[in-house]
Amino acid sequence: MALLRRCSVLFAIALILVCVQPINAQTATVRGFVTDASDGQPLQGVNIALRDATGNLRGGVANDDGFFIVVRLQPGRWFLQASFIGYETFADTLDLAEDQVEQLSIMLRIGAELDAVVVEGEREGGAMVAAGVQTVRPADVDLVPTPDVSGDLVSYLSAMPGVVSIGDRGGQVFIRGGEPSHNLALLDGMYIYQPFHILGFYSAFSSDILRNADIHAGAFSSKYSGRMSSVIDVHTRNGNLQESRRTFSFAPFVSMGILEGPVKRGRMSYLFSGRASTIERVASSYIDQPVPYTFGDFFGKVHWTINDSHQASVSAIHTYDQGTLDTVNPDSDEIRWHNTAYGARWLVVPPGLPMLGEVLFSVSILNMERGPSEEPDRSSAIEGFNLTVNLTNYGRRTNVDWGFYLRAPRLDASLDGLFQNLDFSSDRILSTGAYFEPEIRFTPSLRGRFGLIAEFLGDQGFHFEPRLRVLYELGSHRFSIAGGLYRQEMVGLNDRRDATNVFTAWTGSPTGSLPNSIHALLGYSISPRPGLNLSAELFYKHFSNLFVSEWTAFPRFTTRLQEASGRAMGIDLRMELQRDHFYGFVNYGLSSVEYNAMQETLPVWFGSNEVRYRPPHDRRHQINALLSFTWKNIDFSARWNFGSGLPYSRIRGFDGFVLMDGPVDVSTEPGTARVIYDRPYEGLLPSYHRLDLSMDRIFQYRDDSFVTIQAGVINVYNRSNIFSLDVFTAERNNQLPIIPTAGIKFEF
Amino acid sequence: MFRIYFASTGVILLSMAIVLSSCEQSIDPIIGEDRPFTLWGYLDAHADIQRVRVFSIEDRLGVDHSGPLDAVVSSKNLTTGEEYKWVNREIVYRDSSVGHVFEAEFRARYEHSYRLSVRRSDGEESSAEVTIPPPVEVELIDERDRVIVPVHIHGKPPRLVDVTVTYDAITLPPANPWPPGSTTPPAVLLPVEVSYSGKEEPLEDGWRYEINLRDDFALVQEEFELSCLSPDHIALRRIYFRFLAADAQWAPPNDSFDPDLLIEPGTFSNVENGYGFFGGGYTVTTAWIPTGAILGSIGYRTAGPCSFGPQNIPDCQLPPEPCLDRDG
Repeated sequence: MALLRRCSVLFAIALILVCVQPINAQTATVRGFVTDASDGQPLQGVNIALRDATGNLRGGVANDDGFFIVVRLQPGRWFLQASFIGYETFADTLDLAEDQVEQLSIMLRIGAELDAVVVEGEREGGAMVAAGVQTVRPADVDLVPTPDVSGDLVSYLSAMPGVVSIGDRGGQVFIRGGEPSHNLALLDGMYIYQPFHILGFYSAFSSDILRNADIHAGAFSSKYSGRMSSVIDVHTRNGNLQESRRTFSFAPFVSMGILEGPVKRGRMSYLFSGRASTIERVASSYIDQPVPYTFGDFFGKVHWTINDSHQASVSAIHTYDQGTLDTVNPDSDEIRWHNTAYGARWLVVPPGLPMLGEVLFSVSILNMERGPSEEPDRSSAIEGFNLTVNLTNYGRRTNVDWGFYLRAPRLDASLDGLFQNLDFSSDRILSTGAYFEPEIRFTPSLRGRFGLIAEFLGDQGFHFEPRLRVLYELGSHRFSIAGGLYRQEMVGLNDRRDATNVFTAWTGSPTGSLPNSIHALLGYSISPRPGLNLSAELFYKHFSNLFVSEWTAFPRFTTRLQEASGRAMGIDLRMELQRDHFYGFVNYGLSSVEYNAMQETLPVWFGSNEVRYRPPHDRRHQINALLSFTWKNIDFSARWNFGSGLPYSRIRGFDGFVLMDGPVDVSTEPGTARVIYDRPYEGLLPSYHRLDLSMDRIFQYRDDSFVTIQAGVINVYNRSNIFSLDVFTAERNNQLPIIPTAGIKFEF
Repeated sequence: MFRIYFASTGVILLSMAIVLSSCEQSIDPIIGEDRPFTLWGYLDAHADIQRVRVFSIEDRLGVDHSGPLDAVVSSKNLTTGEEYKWVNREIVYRDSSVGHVFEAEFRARYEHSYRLSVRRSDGEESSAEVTIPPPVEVELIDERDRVIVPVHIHGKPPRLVDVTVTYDAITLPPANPWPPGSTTPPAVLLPVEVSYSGKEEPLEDGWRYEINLRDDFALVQEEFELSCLSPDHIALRRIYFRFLAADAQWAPPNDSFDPDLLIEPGTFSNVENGYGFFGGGYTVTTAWIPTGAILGSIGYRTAGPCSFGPQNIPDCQLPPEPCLDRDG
């Protein structure tokens, strides 16, 4: 009850803070949406500048919905400019009366930018990371070579420092020490529990449907909850509001089609896309390795601009994956999963209030199986809904983000005894909470966000998660500090003793203790000259209540769970260079991940209550280099990726074990085989590196019709990168060998 | 400028690629073990043939394999100086695995110390030393006439391992089943073991146990139910009290024979330059039959449940309902 009272007080204060602004506002407000005139897409990052006759300059930047707002303007005449790179600058003169709320709908036309007035820079690019957040746009994604005409977000992700994937298959991405189940993946607000396809070049997020993606590698804001490591918040673009368009592409790995167009010109649009793998039919004919992978995804979205103050959209996605990761052993288990999610989003600008509201409702389903399709050995399912309300109140110096949510995933798993000390049962986890996060602009160059989440988790009671983000700009220098407490109500259990076993069982906490983490990061970035960006970011994450596989010398497939804690720390360094026809970045990630396992038997085995070890995703060094340039209308891209070796447990030898618990007759008691392991994860697999090249050219054959021809080579120097190693037989599964690719895309 | 950037970055990428591609690494996950053997077994003072299971520690998985084993096994009585050569016997177990069990014909003597050595042809050797515990005398006090039977073990072996009371219990079929002429179900003998390890009390010259026949009868009934046998008509043929008098080294960590704990190499081991455990001891067994009055007071039956003539007793209505169906 005390907690409940505390919560009530907290929210009463929040409401007062939120409501006090419109009451005191005796000034005018300018707000609205900015879109691309050619297709109606919202334009994020458009600079809105307002100047009065005395030269006072006010302004703002459009958010990812194209929404902008400038509050507390003195009544009178203001000159407005909306400018964005690659677009003609929009200009208008506004005569604002007292208390007037001027609602604008600005459409920018493609062309040269004229006389831009920069009020508040929204810097972009691979090196401009602010407090762990990087915004990725389709143009960034398309720079990374893939075996496809279109890019995919996962290819860009894997080029980021601190992001580790075990290999080019399996769909497992670790972000700054966090495991895949610690990452929150959202697509238009819908939870996607297993967003990455079985082949590592692809995810549910094709660049063709992408508007932008915010990658929060850690220390994320209060808007996000329920995961303890990172957030991948993906927003899809809307369909074309002006004309119907069709896109089809064909490539040896994946083929794709997109249909989009207006339902009601200028108001309502649709976008449907579908991708299906062709690797098992086309690429397999010339790859010197089995590639038994089938995957694909379908996405649909209808967006409706109801009026100047209301927008609504309905989205749905379905993904499917099927394949065998151990290509050395043909009898190895097949794994299958599919995601289905559908949801609605309502965006509202309340009349008379300096406020933006968003209501999201979605249902997400994940089914995962391992083993024969008719009788799987293991299965796991999640089905749940998510209702979230996000609101932002805008003030001159303080914007307040606040909102609330209700989530109720039902978890079900059957593991055929994989974890012997765990009983799985169908379970619905109800979590509801609210957050409050004011962003205060202390000075023009110093701003901070101070957030708090209050969450109620059924039997677990109330939890509070404080968050902090501070940014300080000094000329071309930018400093950031961020941190907070993060918690998740669901646990994804995975037996990481085997890299080919990507099966994840979702459940509530086996011990009742919620996994949680504390994040801290310190960042610095600088743009010493136009087109050159440098950044460095130190990070630290401490994880508690992790669950990992227990050590045992029995060479068996089942195991028991043991509790563990862990920490990840490191530094990401980035350098980005941009010129007219040239773009490149180099980044380096140095990180160290350590788990500290607690197991009853450890005192006997190792003489201490705990064993510290490097988990199998602890990649110490990582280098990514990307080079892209245009020559004679041909776009060339090269990407080189290096990762130091991942840890694994070595073996000293094999013998047998007989339990001598009495007068055992060794001539009749056969005993069991035993593995004499070295200390856990003290071996290192060979380092990983690969060079990918691609080139493409766009041909225009009518005013609005294009053909893109792409060619490339994956793993140019045919490096035998290891994917997994069977320590019992020393047989290795290698990642993909050299693969030439070519593709063609038609847009009309 | 553009050309310089392009050229320099390209050169760096290409040279790194060439350099790194030329040093492809092989990997061997098995780093090898210096210790040559793992031994399992014990010297038995009550047996005329001694046995030890020998595993050579190898770099491939498999309990063992057929064929000669590069091992010479010998033992020496450190008290008298007697030496024995052990003979390799290849055994095929019930699970079709093959094991190398070395045997020697001699009887280990009480309170003598022995050293067992297993030597490989390259001179590497694993060995273990054991001391056979002193003899003991088991005294049952009024065992036929008591429900709680005190047991005194005189002589003080360092360890008592696997102390069990075994109840040779049997189902008692109806003497004259109803209806007449129907098949009499067979009597089923179900020995039920009850562990008394850890329940000892020290005496000046040994150990003391109290065997509670009434408490144990509940466990016997439970075991019969689990085996789909009626718990209402159990007769007792005999009670065995059994233990292994063991040497001081036969002491697992945490005093528990948990296989998940002991599986870790070196956890419960007295083998020098090797793994496994080689102990010393002997098994002692005592048996008795309580009087009918004691058995009856505990709940054991001496006669079948049915007589001639119809009775409304479920067990007399044959054939009996299957246990699993009853539960389900």
